[in-house]
Amino acid sequence: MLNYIIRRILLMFPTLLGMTLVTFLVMGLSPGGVGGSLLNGAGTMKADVARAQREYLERRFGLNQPLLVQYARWLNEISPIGFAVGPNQKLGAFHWLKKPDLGYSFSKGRPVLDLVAEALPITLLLNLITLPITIVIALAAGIFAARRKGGILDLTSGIILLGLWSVPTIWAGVMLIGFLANRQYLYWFPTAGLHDTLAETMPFFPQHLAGGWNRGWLADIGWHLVLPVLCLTYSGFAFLARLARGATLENLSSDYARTARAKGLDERAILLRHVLRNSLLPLITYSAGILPSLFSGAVIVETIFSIHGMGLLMIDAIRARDRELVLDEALVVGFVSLVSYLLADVLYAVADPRVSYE
Amino acid sequence: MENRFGVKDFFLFLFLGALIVIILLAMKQNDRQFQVLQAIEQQGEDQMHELTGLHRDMNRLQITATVEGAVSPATQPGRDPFIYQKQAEAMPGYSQGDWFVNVGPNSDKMTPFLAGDTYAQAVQNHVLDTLCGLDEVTLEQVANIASIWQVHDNTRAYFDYQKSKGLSDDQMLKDPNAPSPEQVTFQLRHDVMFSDGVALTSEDVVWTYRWIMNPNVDAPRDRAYDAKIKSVVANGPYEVTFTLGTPYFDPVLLCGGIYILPKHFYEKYSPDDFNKSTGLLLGSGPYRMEDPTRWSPGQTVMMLRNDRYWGEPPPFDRVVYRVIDNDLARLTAFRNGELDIYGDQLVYPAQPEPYQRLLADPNIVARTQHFEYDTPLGGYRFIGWNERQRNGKPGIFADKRVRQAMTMMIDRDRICSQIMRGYVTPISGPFYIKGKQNNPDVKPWPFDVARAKALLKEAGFVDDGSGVLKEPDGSPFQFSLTYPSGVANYDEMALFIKDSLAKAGVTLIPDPLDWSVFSDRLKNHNFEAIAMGWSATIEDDLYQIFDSSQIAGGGDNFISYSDPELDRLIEQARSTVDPAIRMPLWRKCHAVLNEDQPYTFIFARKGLTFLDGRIKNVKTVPLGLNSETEWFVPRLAQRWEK
Repeated sequence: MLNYIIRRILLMFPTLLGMTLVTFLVMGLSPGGVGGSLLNGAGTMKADVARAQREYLERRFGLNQPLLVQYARWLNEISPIGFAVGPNQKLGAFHWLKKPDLGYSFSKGRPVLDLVAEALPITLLLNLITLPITIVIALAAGIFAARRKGGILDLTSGIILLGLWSVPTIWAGVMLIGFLANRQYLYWFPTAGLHDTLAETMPFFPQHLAGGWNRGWLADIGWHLVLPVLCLTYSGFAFLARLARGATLENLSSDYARTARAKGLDERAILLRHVLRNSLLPLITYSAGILPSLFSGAVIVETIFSIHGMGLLMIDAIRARDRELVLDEALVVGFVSLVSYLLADVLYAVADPRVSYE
Repeated sequence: MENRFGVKDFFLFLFLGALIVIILLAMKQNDRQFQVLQAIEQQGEDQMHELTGLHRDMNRLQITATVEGAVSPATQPGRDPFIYQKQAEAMPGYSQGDWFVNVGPNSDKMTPFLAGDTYAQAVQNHVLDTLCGLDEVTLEQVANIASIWQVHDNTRAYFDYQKSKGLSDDQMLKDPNAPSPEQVTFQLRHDVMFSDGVALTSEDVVWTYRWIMNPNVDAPRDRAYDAKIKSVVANGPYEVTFTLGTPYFDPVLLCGGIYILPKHFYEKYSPDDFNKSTGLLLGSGPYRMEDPTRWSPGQTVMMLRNDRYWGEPPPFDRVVYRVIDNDLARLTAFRNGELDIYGDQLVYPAQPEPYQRLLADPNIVARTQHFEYDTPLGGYRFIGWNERQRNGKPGIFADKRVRQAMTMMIDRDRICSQIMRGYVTPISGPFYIKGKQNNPDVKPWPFDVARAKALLKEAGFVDDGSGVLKEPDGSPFQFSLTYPSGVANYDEMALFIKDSLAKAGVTLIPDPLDWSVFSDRLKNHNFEAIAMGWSATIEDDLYQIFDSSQIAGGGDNFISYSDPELDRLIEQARSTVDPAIRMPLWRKCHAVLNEDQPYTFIFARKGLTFLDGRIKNVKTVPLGLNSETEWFVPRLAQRWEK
């Protein structure tokens, strides 16, 4: 087993190298090239000024160097072995051990690490709320449907879930804002962001203050999260619920369930104590595949609700063809994906003793 | 199965329970401290308010004496920069207080000079201050931090020297013996202080200039603007002299428009730390950031009235900029009354469609006010005709008659009234329609297909009766119109023009391109005709766009247009400091451009703005809407308490 894991980890390096190289080449060879859209706002800029800016960026970040040189420089930057880099891209002395650096995003003018440190907690908050809700609802719906297989409830829940699954998030988000956050209809939720304008002056807990009831900082975030979380969860049920339904059905008709019934256990105990545990297996392995999306964020929902998480960061990076930001994000998401696949495989072996990688 | 609840488990649960209770109590305690802190902060603010009021009164007594003594006949006396604000203050119902809640898409930086977007610019306009300002009605420079200034015009000597040595502008900059074309000396007010209480002196002005010019600071944009300035020298604590190295027609605007930063605050940071920062923003403007160091992207910008501001205190207690990226969400937030403005011309101009939707809602119209106005921020849209083919030879559009004919075949009035729904102003040239450069005698070309066809016939284009016009060499007259994709209304415009040209036998092939490809093509002059927009300012320099020297070497004369008469006029205008002589020259340029039609000028966008009805004294001025410092909310209508 250990042997297998080490082999898989070693394989990650060439895979990541290939992934980032392809990403970089696609970006670099597209019209405009690296940093090509940097002057997106050129229409609002005086012509000579736009040019001065471009020249400055080229000099400072080496945007006019050959693509492979740029890629090699990035590799040098992120690796713990390599050359020190001085201002204006000058290479310094060679070190056997140096601090790996995610580099500097030229479109945002900040170190990539800072940008990620700002965006990641927001994305994690959103996803860590969404994921359990999705799984609980999906499991409940799946088991519920499995127990009434072929019945009218099974059918309708199937249709409803499929229906939800096919509603595009972008439409649903806009509708939610338009109806649930609009004074013309129901003004129940805020329109955008994660905090109220007054959030900074709120106490942490809800309480009675001089000016009346104050909902507090914590509840304020919760209130702002309702619509985005709703948007993120509804489409996630369908697939997981079908998966749970299938697994439950299979287990319900298996030998051990029949034995349990024969020994006189009631249906409820069979379901909760025996079948449920076994039906979770495919869900656990599936959840490992969700791990990367925890880090990559949800582009559409973040845009609609003005939540500045990883999804928006990634879109901004791609739009600006920001070399460091795109490459680092490809690296992080690629790495997390590979790790989660490995994790899924290992979990599989742990959960099912028949699987072996020797 | 040994599944019983044991003593060990009991203690474990007890421990966990205690932990949770302790955490909750700690949070509660923190909460109480937070409230106490807020109360203290409030008290401190109130005391500061009183103190600075006293301070201001004392300073005023002093300053009247100093300024009166310093004015000499040779200097231009600065007029009171607050006359419009004082008029507002005299209006019935005027009251200070309330908040103004604006909105914009996210910005990456608030630190001055680093940020490129208009959201940051809008915020900085509140917090930072410049030596001179612009009068919103007369469009002339008015005093601000500088009470008076003096321009020393030496352009004649500069050009004589340049001609005698045969040097270019760049070489002149490097030549140590070259005379300086212009010098501006500013007298600073004595009562200006930054929002942290430190006085503003000439040292801050000099330091700011040096900081911008430091090649390690990420400020290439401002550096390009200020490259014409050779040196900035302080003569005593309240006098600065700017010496230009390259002539510029409005040296006061160039030198007096720089945001002045506090040296003591920013010099703590190395260029590298400064570049990486997101929210280092402290200045001497009417507002201050709630925290001058801590803002980070995505956060609401909360600006408080700067009680140490030297001038008239602005009406609003706070100006708030929220972040909403999605336009529909912005629209909904405005409908809900969460925002006081929809369609800030600087930050996010409103599109005609949502604007009309708001207009159609009687509830919204009843409790708001709306404005449609000309503004230099709208820029102008045009079609540029490339006069050279890819091989460098003159193309079909090199002939002036063809360009004139193209203009006359495009029904620009219908583009304005139907595609742009009337929210634009038809134009005849590149200048802001309410600016002084604009030549009111030049009228847009008429829409006249018959005259256009006659001109084309004259230019050698043949109509053989097949309905397709033939070029002089016998091939059908067709060309592609390149335009940026995904920008509102371009597709409709291209299709409309295609339709109207088809009636005259000319084939237009729409060629929408992603911006990065588009700008690449522009750089390489690789197109036949191009539709795009330029931004305009109060006074535009045509050199970069229309001078024939800007065809080669990545200049912005990408249509390869060249007219010796225009070149001469541009050169003359650029080297004339006196506006009374310069403006007629620009107006002549306007006439030449209209005759030559290197561009078919189509329209300038109007500003469209909805504002909450409780805000009073909002009106349109030649510069757009009047300044926010003149708006106010009567006491009873105020929504936000302190």
